[in-house]
Amino acid sequence: MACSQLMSATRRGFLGRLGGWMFTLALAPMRVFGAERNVDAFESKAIEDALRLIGAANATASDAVFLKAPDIAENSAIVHIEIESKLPGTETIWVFADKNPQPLVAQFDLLPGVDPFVAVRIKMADSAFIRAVVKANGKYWFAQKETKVTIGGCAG
Amino acid sequence: MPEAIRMRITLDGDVASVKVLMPHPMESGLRTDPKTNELIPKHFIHHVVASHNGRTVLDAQWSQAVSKNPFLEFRLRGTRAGDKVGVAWEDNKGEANSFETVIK
Repeated sequence: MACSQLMSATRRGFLGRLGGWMFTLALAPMRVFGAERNVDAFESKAIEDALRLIGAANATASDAVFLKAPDIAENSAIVHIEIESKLPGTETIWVFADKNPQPLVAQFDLLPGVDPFVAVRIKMADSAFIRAVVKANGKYWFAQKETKVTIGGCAG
Repeated sequence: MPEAIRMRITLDGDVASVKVLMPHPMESGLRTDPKTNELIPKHFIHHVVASHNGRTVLDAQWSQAVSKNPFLEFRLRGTRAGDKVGVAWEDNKGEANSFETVIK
């Protein structure tokens, strides 16, 4: 009796440890690709805060970061933008719309096999600078472009 | 069940240009329902992952400011006909969808 109790206790302990171990293993691959969501940066209401929270407060303007965005967007809900980085070691691309209620629009973590290029369509709350921030070899760079939006019937 | 993801791939040498359309309302949480005058809750894709032959190549976090029915284009290097390209998304309500196709 005592023996079987001991056995079962040990077995449970072992299974418990095994379960915990397998759980850790299951989670491990998720950490390998992509950073955890930077909730604070996404919730930030000011562009300066969002930039600081991704670590890009001191980002430098770079000619090697290309941002293609329209001069005038007729539909502020569909603004087509393209970002390309010629910087070696580009690992992450962020997109910001400076005057959006929450300026951080998207973060793209690039892994080996994909070019440092993305195209995406975004919503803009107002005419504003669109900003592309790139992390390459641990440093932060950016490009920006002003896009005017014509909202509703107030096209000007 | 969300509407199917659509994908178009053009292969130029070993570079595959992948264009993806993901049908989704992408509600910003700022719109009011004209009937009830109440705010429509946020409902948006917050995580997108693209893969090449099963290996993750692009891992994206999005906000509600990505346009409705999101469009995404990316380029894969070192690809050839027969390779598999996949895209999967998950939204803030826990709904998810995925699609995989073979480069022709």
